[in-house]
Amino acid sequence: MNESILNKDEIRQLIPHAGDMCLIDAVNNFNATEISCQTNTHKLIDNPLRHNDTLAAVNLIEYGAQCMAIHGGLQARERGESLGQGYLVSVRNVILNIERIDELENNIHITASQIMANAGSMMYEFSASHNDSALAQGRVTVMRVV
Amino acid sequence: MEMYLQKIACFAPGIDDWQTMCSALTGKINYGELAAQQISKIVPQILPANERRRTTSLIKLALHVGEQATVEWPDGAQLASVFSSSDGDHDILNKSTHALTLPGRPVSPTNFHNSVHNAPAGYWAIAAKSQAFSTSLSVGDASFSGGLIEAATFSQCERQPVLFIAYEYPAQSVLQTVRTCQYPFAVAMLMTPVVSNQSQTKFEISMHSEKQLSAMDNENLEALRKDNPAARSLPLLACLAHKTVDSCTLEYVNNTRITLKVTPCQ
Repeated sequence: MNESILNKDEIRQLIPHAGDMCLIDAVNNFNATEISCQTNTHKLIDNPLRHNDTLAAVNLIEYGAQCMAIHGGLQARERGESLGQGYLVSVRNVILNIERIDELENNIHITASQIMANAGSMMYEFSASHNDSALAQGRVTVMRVV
Repeated sequence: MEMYLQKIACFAPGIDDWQTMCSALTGKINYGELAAQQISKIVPQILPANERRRTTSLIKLALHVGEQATVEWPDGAQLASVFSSSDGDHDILNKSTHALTLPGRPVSPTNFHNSVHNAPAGYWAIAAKSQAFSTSLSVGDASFSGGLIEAATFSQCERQPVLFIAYEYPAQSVLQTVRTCQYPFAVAMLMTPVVSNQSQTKFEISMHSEKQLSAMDNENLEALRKDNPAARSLPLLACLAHKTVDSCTLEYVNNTRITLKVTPCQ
């Protein structure tokens, strides 16, 4: 397991997601345009996104979007601001390589790279992997609600 | 998020081109009662006659405004598109569901072929000889703003121009009593992610949780705005018609709104 630079309590202070809906366990690394995170919450039986006793791989889009939110929150904190609410408005070019993720044994690693960000919106490319094999990727656009 | 409008086209009761719409929106002509408006017959020239025969009023409506918005565009075959309609094709839905009640369930193959939500986009691809990216969506009453966001995010993401068409045609059947509009309306906007010599207007799109929705001063245009999900675009069209710096707020989903700040380019 990589050493994290931000734990779950610190993540909860950065993003609007609360309680069990905060799906990312730790931030391993980040810079001005990229963030890499890891999580184990896909295995939790009380994961709020579970449906019909499984956690479908499509939920990795939400995992990717939360990594974006954390990155946005870190940048907002550097400016002395806090991250407001955002709305996931568009998901593009999504590739899912598996059907479900709740049976994956180890941590899922997720990276999100910023394509564009301005006052009103941000666009990221995310990818998720498990034991170095790719699980999912896609492009997510979030608009800030002001 | 920024977008640049290159050309716009629209269709409404009594209005078959952007110039007439501008006159109605700026009050140069008095837009009278909806029930008294003449609804023009739509014949999109872009589609070969043998394909046109297989289409419906809804498909013709979408293609008609798309054709007008792209008439000067040099490379229609490469142009990506976003089609947005709340209800889709009531005519096809009515005919197909009616056929299912008859002995032998004689659903017409043409109607079955047209029953998918992206049928207008399919005919557009035939007409424009296009294999470019296309999305068809429905966002209920927010189908205009939802489609606009989809078009804008695609265009910004891929750095490509995009044709956005929002359209809605009333059901002329028993479905009229369930959920539908009374009057047809369509708008097509050809947009680019960066400014060009042909850019007419810059849009800046932002999202809000609390803001007053824009409405129309003219009561008949306001009735049209409320009637047809595609006509929820009318406050934006009014901003464009006035050719000044202006803004309007349109409904999106889950109690959010989008505000469009409009700045003329020339």
